[in-house]
Amino acid sequence: MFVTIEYFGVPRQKTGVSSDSLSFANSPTSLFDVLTEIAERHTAFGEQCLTGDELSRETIINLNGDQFVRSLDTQVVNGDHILILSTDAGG
Amino acid sequence: MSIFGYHGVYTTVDATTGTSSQSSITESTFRRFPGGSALGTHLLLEHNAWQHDPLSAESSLVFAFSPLIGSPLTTSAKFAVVSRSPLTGRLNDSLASSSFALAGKKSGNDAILITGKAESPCILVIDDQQTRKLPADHLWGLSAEDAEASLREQFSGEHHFAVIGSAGEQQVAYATISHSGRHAGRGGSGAVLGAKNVKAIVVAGNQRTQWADTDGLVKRAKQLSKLSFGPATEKYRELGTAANLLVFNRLHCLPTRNFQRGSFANSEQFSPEALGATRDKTRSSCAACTIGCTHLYSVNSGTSNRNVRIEYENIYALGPLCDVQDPEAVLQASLLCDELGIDTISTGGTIAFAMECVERGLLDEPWLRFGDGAALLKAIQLIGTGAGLGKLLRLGSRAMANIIGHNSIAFAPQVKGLEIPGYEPRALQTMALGFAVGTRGADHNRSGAYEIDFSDTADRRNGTAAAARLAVDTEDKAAIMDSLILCKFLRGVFIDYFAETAELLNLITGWGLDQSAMQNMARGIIDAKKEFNIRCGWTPVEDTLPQRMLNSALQDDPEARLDTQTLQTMIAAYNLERGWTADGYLDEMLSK
Repeated sequence: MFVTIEYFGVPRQKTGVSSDSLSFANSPTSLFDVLTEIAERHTAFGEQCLTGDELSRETIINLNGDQFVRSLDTQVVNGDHILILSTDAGG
Repeated sequence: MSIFGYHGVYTTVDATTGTSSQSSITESTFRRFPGGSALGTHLLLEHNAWQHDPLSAESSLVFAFSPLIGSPLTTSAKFAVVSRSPLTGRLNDSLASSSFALAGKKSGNDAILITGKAESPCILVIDDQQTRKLPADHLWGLSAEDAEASLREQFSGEHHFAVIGSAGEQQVAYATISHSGRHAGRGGSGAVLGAKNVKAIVVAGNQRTQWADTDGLVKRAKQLSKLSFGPATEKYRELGTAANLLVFNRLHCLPTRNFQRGSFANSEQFSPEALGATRDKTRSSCAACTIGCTHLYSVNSGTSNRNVRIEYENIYALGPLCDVQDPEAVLQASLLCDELGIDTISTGGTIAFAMECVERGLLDEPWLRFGDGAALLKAIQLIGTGAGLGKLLRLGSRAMANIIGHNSIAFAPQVKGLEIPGYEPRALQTMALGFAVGTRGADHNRSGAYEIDFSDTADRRNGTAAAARLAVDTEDKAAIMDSLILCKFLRGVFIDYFAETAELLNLITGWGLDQSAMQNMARGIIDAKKEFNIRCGWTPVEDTLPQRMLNSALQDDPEARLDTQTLQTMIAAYNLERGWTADGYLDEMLSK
């Protein structure tokens, strides 16, 4: 299955790209597995994205432009868009 | 006996006579209203400021400092300007930063209250010498920046200045008060000062306050500074708030074309990366700040290139909201707002409203079209001169709508008269509540309810009573932040917010407050703001949103729809959570 990762703000700056398309053997796949794959691709961002087995305080994730998620057990399916944002929406 | 962190006094300056008097403030008052917005609100209530037209001689305007000013705590060099707003008729508290706060506190005052009206343009000087009124005819008509430069030549290096631009002099309803390129921007405090014929407040001094635990304070300040270099503030430091634009656009919560849409065709050109690709870019900091969020971009001002500070809110209001897709026009518009001394959000909101009135045939100004950068600049210039359409534009969108009629109030982008910041209420429904109930009107600095929408605790497009109760906590946190005063960009470094802010205040004052005491303090501050508004004539019908945003979906996001009943349910839940009546009155006021 394929999922699209969209990076915004600091995540975009750290990864150096605005998006990635990732493929996974299993569908659905956990958000943890997706973020682990991202961390391997983009080391500088990966160090900040995950704190052990948890999503770091500094990272916000939205699924398909709809709901915000923090649980890394969230299941991702083929065609999903995962938006990774900087901490703090405001300003 | 002195109070740690405080001078224990405020000075009242009468602009009519130039005379001043000092009054004491008790420790018990500081324990309820520690500084900034809270202290300013309290003093206005004490002076019955709600009774007076904000542009009258009798009105009062407070510059309020805080116990943290002058300490080594990062971002603590801030001051609040509090008055009744000429734009909303309700309480207005605006904050700004930097050396004016430090010098004002060193003048030996915890607050300075200005009343009266000078016969001719003046400046008011509050320093170690006798408070005095000096003529300012030579400054009248100058931009805030130029007036400040002139004052620097006139005074010693220890003096600092809070200044109005020409818009404040002419009482534009959303005129700002400026200091070193920072602005107490919202709600028209510049017009209040201008109506008193006061061009600037000048402060200096050498009076310091004592701290209860200096060693502990220095140690904690170092920790806080270190955290302020970390990931919690990285967005502000590296990119600035302009980085929000692409996120909001992606989520269809970027108000566009006067809130007709939630996304904008040309958003990529306004990203910090794109803005910086073709322009010189620099960063700067306020005094006593380690974050350094100020991102300045070079812009052509006609005769030369100048730097303009860019934030999400000024891009949003002068770009997408007016559907202007040319970044250069938006940057020039932002610079022009700074020169005149007007709030960018209210400027953009009012012009966007006027553009839609033209589109609907309600205003005969065919040159003022959505998307036209030159028209945007012309409209701002007219606000500055007051010529032609400028006479209407300088009133703000609510007053304009009341004059234009034809139910144009339905699409005037305001709550209580204050133009709405860049958060589409239908797509961010907890924030919609925050806007509706805000004591100074639609505002993203007094309510952080968008944080609920941007979390997994709420469905942002389906507001609920449970989310409304969570919004109370974000408002309470802001009330503390605005009263201590600390920059909100620091909030992400706190893990246990109320306990940690209690610790900071304890190190200064020795009060031994705990988390619960801080939460109670926050509630008391919000109660005082609400009491002021009730005394001004507030009624529950004010706590709402423009009709456009109720009962119809966003054009580009059919799922983003907020019905009146849902908003009313959220408002009732919010009011009850605050301990008020379901419709928003304070029980103790009713019992009186």
